[in-house]
Amino acid sequence: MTIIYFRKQLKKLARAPIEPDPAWVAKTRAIILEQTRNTVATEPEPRSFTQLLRLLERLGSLFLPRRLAAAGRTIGVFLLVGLATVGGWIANVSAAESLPGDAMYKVKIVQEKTELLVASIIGGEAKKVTTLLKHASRRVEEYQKSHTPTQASQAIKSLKSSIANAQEELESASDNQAAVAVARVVTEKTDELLTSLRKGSVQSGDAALSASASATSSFSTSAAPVSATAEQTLLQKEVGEASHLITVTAVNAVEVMVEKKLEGSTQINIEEVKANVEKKVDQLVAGVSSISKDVATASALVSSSTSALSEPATTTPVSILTFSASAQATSPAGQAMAAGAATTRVIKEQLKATGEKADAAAKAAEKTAAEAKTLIENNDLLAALKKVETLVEVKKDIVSAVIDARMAAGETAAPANPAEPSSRR
Amino acid sequence: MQQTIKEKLLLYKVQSKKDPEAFAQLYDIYVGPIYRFVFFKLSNAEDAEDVTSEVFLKMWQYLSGEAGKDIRSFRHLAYRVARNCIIDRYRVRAARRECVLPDVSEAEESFSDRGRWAAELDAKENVRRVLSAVDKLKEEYQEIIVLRYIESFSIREIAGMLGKSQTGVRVTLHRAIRKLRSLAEGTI
Repeated sequence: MTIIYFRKQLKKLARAPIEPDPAWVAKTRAIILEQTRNTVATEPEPRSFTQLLRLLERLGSLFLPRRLAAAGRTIGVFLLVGLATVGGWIANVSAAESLPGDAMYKVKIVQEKTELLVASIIGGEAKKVTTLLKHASRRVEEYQKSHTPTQASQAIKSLKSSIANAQEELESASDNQAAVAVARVVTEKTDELLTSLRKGSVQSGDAALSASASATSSFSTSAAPVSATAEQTLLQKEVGEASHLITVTAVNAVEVMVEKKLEGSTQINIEEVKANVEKKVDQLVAGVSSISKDVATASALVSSSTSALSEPATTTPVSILTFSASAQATSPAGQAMAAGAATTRVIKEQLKATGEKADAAAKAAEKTAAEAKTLIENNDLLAALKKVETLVEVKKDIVSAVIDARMAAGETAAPANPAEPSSRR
Repeated sequence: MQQTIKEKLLLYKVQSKKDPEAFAQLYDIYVGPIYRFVFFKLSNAEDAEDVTSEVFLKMWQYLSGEAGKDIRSFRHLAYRVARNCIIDRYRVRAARRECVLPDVSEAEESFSDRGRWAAELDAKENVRRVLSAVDKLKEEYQEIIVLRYIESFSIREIAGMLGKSQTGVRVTLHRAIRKLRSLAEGTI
């Protein structure tokens, strides 16, 4: 039984006729009314805003010439509209490029909420989800342009929220036609989101974590070394979670397509469904394989820099790892190198262990993918979906393992792109 | 949408004017859902009635006080108070050393008595299996499944009620469904 089946059964439980005894309801109502009436005391009512406005109007009619007082309301409305239009235009222009924490960022968010409301009223469910995912895409752009880890983290948190809302729309689509339309939008847009999110990590030069983007180079040099390491690694973890959430939502969209097709919907044909399932399988396998290769590259780099231990500690990738792993960056070079050798061994061992996990995951993923494709060919789409769910878990586990290894090693930048050691002190 | 506006107006009257009639109207709207929520947790009609009455009386005391003026949603408050009252009831039961097993049969009786509803299901066997599995879940999973699928709260609302992040709720829900599946399929 798939998870979709269970959700359906649970939703049916919601229609269970578990109702209180009407006699008890009436009796309890009477008791509550009696008790609440006993506790009521009279208090003067505060003046409401509408009452205040009416009072001003009356005052205006008393103190201003009659014609001006009569035109006062009209003039006031035109003034307000004019101010709002001009102010709105100015706000719009400055808000569009704002980042989390900027003064105009709240304006940007309010504009997006308005856009979403209009889309849901006029455009329907598919339009609403398209708008939600457009906003999600903006969050990814904000993440890529962020100047500080805090900004980036805020952008990622908002991204997760947009994806979660899209997921809800997917689950609560009103009818088959809407469900299929929403699922199509989600499938297409989530692919774009994952591609964009991955670009952030490539730009930062983080080859070890292509599936979970790392900190961008724009803020890798500005903060204190130990705190930057911890902060940026936490950010990587958040990005990994966001990536996983997007993947799960994309898979859920494919599940909806399969479900609707199996229910006999004519909104989608079997070939499109099979193509989407197969595409998901391929994407997940490629993701796991990519992580495995990146970990292998990182391992190779660390291993090859072992011979550089005799060089000055400020110039080697290994020394960067050791400095970032040690709490006291100002210790004498000799002591640091001695401590560094031991730390490097630990890091190498961790990388080796993670590499082994990644290899095993890649092999398991390929095997599962082959099984999934066989099931797709045989039109056993529900079983194929179970394989897709397995692949999602495999990918999630290996990404977590890599991030955990990174946190343990205390890295900030990729071994292939070491930052200036002085900036890390 | 109309119900929400009506509820907001009633809530405003209760908070600002301590209007008993407004509170009674909110009671009319929520007594059924709260009763059902409590019943799913306690599996006993008598306890469900006691706890539901207690919930509304506590809500009146809270809303008519200073702290109640900050409440924006009667629904959220009702479920939060209901959860707390249920926890208190569990403690009372534990203190009395009552051993209350999940009463799947009582819930099923209700289902089977309503032929119209039972006919809509795939099969009664599946209902029995899903219900049994829900009852075997740990408290945290049970609660989130009841709130999401039976009470139809959104993820955001559940997050607000439980004091968790939306991602946390989603993760817990996903784990709860997977656990439910493994219990129902007999593979723990």
